[in-house]
Amino acid sequence: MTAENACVLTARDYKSDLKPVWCPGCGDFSILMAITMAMAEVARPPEEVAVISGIGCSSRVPAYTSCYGFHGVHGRALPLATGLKLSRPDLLVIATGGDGDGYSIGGNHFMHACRRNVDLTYIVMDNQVYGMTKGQPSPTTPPEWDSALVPGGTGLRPFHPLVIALAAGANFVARTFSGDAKGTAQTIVEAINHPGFSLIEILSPCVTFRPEEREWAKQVHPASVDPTDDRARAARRVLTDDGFNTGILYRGKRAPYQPAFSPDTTASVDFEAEFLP
Amino acid sequence: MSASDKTNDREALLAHAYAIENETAERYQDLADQMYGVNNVEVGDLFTKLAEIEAKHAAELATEHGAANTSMAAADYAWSNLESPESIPLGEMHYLIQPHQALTLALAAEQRALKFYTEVATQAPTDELRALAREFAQKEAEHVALVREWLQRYPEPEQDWDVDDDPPVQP
Amino acid sequence: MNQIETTLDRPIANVTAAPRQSLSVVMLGSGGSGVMTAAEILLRAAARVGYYGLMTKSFGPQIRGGEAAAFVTLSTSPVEIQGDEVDLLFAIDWKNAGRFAGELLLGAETLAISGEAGAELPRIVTEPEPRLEEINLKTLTRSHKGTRPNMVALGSVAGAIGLPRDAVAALIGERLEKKGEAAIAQGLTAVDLGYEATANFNLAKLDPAPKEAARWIISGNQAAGYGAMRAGVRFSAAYPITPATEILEWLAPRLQKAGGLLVQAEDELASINMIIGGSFGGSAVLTATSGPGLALMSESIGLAVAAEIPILVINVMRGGPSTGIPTKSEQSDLNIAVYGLHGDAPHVVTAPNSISDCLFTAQWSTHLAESLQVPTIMLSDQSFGQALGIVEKPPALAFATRRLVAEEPGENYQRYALTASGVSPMALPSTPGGQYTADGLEHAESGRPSSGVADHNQQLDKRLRKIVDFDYGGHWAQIEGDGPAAIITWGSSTGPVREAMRRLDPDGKRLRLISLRLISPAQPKALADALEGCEQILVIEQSQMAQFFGHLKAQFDLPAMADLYARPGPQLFRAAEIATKLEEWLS
Repeated sequence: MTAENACVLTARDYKSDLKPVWCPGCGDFSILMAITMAMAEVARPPEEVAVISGIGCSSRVPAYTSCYGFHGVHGRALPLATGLKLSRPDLLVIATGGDGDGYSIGGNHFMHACRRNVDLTYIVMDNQVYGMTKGQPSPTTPPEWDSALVPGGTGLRPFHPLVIALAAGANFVARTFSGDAKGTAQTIVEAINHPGFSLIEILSPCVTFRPEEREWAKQVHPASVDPTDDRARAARRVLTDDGFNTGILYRGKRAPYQPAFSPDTTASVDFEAEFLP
Repeated sequence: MSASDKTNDREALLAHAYAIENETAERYQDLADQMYGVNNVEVGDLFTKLAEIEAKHAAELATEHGAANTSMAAADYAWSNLESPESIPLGEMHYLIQPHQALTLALAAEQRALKFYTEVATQAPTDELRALAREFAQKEAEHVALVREWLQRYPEPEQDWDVDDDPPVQP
Repeated sequence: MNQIETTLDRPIANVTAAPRQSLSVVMLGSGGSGVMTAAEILLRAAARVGYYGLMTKSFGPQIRGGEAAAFVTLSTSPVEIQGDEVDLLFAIDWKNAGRFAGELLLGAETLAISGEAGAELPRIVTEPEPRLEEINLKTLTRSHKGTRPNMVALGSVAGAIGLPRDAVAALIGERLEKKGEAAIAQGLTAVDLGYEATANFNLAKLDPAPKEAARWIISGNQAAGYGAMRAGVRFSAAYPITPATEILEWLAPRLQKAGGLLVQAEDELASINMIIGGSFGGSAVLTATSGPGLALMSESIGLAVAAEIPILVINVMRGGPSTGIPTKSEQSDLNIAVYGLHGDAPHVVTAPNSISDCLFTAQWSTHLAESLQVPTIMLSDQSFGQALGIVEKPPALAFATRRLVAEEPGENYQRYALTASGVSPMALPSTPGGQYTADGLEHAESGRPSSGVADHNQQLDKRLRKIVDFDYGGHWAQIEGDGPAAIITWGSSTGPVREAMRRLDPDGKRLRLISLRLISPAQPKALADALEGCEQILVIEQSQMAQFFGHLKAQFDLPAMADLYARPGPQLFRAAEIATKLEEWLS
């Protein structure tokens, strides 16, 4: 983009021409819209943005953008994103995925990514189910939800991603609802601009396997308190809320992890001295 | 944030109107794409037609009122609802949605747009603005009438409209 | 195929005793006795004098206070394997020394020195009836303030084998410099006590060291790290695992010094994906692991195959299966390296054949990964990785080719375009117009996911063709000799085979050695050419299930008449063991 024709990028500039294969009604459509709107606001050119994902319905996002993308294996978006960002600090790196990909198989990486605090934004589209594999409980599914794989429900306490993120060290934690595309977009912009590891949990109904989640639109409500920079306070809030509070929960002050990386690969290395007897 | 707060001058009103029509056209087109993607051709065609109508409206705003020369930051658009008043929310879709249901949603969307401009028409500070808003409201009323007419061509869906004997596929 | 049976219980045959060109020394001790430090100083002193050498280590399982055995073979010519029989054994103490049965092979010619006066000697020492001497380390060190038993042991051994005192003294001075003059004086006193104590033990001395040539002391793990850096690797992510951790610890500060970075990951699943991310961004990358870690990484290595991302994975093999024997060597990860990815996922597998070859092969492997945009797995093993060798200084080589990068992608850039070589220009993030989504899903030339027949066939063919059609040159194998009896082997089996061949066939007229450096993709034509004129073939490998033999049969058209000698770890092959087998086989 030269100075002469420097144009304002719109959300459309960040969309590819590949049509999503999601079920009509899926919350991910709105989230994709919010992501591209946020990118237009942040205004890094598409070639300087990398969208990294694992496996699942929401992990299909990279190919629906016009940015560089990596559709990796199940649960491993965060290490992919981490390796890329650490070695290419110049790029804007965004990781996307779902609740199964991120909190089940990806749980270990999730925890350590929060801890490591590399400057990344992680967008989790939480539909509280495994959609791509036809409807099994995920870590965030309520314990009584009946399914073919776990008849009668898991009986297990759902995973609490926001609290885990806070405890592990995430620097920015928010929850939004897919139906609020503009609010989600604004939150994504803030997350991107906030240094360190930013987590946005987006409640995103799965109309095929959890049609009852269409009711979420009626249940979500903006949080009645401002974001806090007190990690413990934030944890207490989210441990005691109804799970439908939306907004930015926590903005922290940890310095992002970004060791110097500026190798000159053409320069030869010489460690001979240490091998001489 | 009410409609009148952000449409206190001609440029603002035009910018809003232009944005509404463009977003709506885009939304209808996206929905049409979704419908074609699930082989719901009848509804896809309906949305395509609606997209064309909205796009035409937007073009008229540009040629007759110079709307394309206005500009406003995206964040300045403050809709009373979560989305642009005239857009069908993405979450309302269903892969088996029937024409009657789709048009019902379109009707509601057009009615929201009508309401938006009607409010501006009563609350705008100047005569010129109120007139402009009335013009836009009139256009929306025409859309409402059109959608009502289309609705009559389609019966209400059967009880089993969303029955699919095949289980979901694991891609 | 005739499998030659063997067990290690059989006594070693009466092969010629090691010439005084080389001496094999073992130093034993437990409970923090410091034998490893002593042995390493011995090795370094010998290197400075001009000898070649090899030091390997064996331990009990304790992290502290356990039994330790240091094996050092010194020679006037290159050493790749410890001597068959111990010439000099020095034990600071004998506690639980029985654990080293099978590794400690003493004979009537062995001089066994006990530093633990009055101790009951274990059977492994008394049974072979070696020459026995005693030194009372306790008394000596008590009567000389500040002297340590391991330093007395060092002096005893150095003196017994004829190492000039000055070389040892210089090293003491360097090591203890920070601790001050008094410490140095005490160290030197201890060493001198040792020299004195063994002055009349009449052990045959080493021949004078050969004329100075540039030599290095280096371990296989260090060599591997260095080779990769020479090839341009500057980013690594890793998870510690025995016996690969030293590669990572060597690289961490040195990568940083070169402007690069090593990140410790939370597990192997993270480390492999981090380097894939780094490579996607344009960096040459590596990680290092061992069998269990490689198993964890296999899904993601397949991702790198499918998405055509260059990575180097160094697998330092250890005893398997499962947790196996972490501190010992074996050649039983060939199958998982070559065949362990799901789907048809062709990739490159290489293997160094000596400690210094770890440097060349790591450099070559990185070059292959980058040039072919494919994961390369380099199979080193614990016996290379954790051994210190005094080796010829490796030549400084540079490979010309680099990663094919799409500098200016055109309007319709296709990341996975079908090209003549099979390698497609790769757009790096921030290059305008080059945007694509790398994917483990099968894809069209554009990178868009595709389940179509044509796309799958074309992309499978491309990914196979690019590595099969590549000209690997002469590096695919190390070939020595041109006799009619060929030995095919790989990795750390090469050293003992070479030594056995040296004894039986010094002119190289009866035997031929073919040691594969390129394990996969197979080079059947090259092997057939190398076997031209052979009447006998013997495959030698350290794997109970004969993985290498199976691979040769399946992929290389190995002639039916080929014989096999295979056994598992944890003991390395002995030169005498191989020599005995060869004699039988040739007769």
